[in-house]
Amino acid sequence: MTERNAASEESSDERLLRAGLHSLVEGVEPERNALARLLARRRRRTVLRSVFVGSGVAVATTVVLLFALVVPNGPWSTDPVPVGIGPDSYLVRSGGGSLVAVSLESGDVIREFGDPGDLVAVARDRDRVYVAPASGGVVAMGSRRTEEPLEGVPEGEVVTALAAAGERVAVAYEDRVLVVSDGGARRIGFEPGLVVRDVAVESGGRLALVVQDRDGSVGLRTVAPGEDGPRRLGRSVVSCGPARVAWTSTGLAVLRSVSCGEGESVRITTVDPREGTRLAGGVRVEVGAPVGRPLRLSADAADRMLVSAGRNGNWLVEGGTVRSVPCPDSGCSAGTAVM
Amino acid sequence: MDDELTTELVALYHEHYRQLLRMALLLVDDRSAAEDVVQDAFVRVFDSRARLRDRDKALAFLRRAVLNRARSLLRRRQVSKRYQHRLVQREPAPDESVQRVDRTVLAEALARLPRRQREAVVLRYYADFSEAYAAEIMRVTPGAVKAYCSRGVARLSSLLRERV
Repeated sequence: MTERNAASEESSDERLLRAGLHSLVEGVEPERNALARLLARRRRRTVLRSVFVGSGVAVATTVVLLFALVVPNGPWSTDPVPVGIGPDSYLVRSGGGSLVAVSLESGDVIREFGDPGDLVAVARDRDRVYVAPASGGVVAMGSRRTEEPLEGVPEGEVVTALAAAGERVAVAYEDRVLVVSDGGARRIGFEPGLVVRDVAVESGGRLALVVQDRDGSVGLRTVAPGEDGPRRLGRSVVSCGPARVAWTSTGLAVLRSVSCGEGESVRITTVDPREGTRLAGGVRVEVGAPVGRPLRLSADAADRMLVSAGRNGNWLVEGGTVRSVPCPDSGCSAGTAVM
Repeated sequence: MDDELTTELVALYHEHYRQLLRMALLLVDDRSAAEDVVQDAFVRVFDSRARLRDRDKALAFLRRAVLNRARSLLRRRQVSKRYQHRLVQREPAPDESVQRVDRTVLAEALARLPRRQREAVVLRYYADFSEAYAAEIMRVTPGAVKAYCSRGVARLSSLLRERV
């Protein structure tokens, strides 16, 4: 059985009717927040369903579950993750200072995590959210504004970059990287003088790093799963020196300055993580501010990338298309956003 | 796992939401009701993980759900007789274009079709489905779809001639 109507001999009435029906709804588009509404309803339904399934097991358990769902900010909400952010969203600090998940389509706030205070980095692994406060350490953020220190990460030491994927969290300090997972924390050290500027972790555990050498030159390193030492990637592919990195399904996306100086344009180049050769390159993004440290590059499972320049804006890169991503109604505050 | 299903739901949304919305609008001639009908259908499809894993099944389910929800809505309307937020205004202003008037006439004629004829006409001539597929969605035989379409087109032509 074919879904589509095979070309057939239609009467003039039928042809007119076909054209008329299409004309009648021409220009009808979904409401701006249709997807956000749908995802919100889906989440509510999932929660309710899980509650009803639980009720079959024990009434007492169900009562506790319902109570926990109805009463916000309960002090017993110690499990901070996962939080159900939704795949079509990004994390950003709103104008009010709260960390929020925002719909990429509508700019509507899907979830609010509360104000994490001064922070240096944010990372997201599907429904899990991690922040690195300026006071040091890494904290897992929960859906009811709960925070829980990430085990295996020193609490008082300030982090320089943070990434998460595949239930691993990569925590970069100036001279080393910690990879934290269910199996514990793995330390990756570097030769003296190297400073880690950015880190990205692949769902399979492979790391990519932007490092600055003693002579000031900036380059890429990768660390394969199970290895404790980094490997240098070719320099030629990123002539201006990489600024940020993110993993995609096709390779390593590298964000770099176009003019090698203090311009306001960046370019995303995809490189082969084994050979260092260029696979694709060229998507150019005007970030509207001097290219500097506050930039952030992140990617989602669909290989869409988010270039974030804090208050200056956020841009979604889909293939060769670049578009500005809406901030929540309260605006975007300082601090970079991630997908 | 849940995230994968949500991703699938989002993919379905991007690929089919607009067409389903337009289809629902032709069935219920009310913009916000059509949006609710399609939203409900999408939420329902998520109830079954097996459905979501098979794209063809999910799509057929979505289309059937839109049809069923539209039927329920029209039944409720018949009882309450509350018609709000029409797809088109009943009486176009004198300065409206010829095209707008044509659309108004067609929308009114469509709204006056018996329910099954209207569904068959929308599925065949708007969604461009084959008789067999439209029959599966409507849960009738292909012969019935053919008959509904034949009567529907004849009736619409007659209604349009009356108005024009």
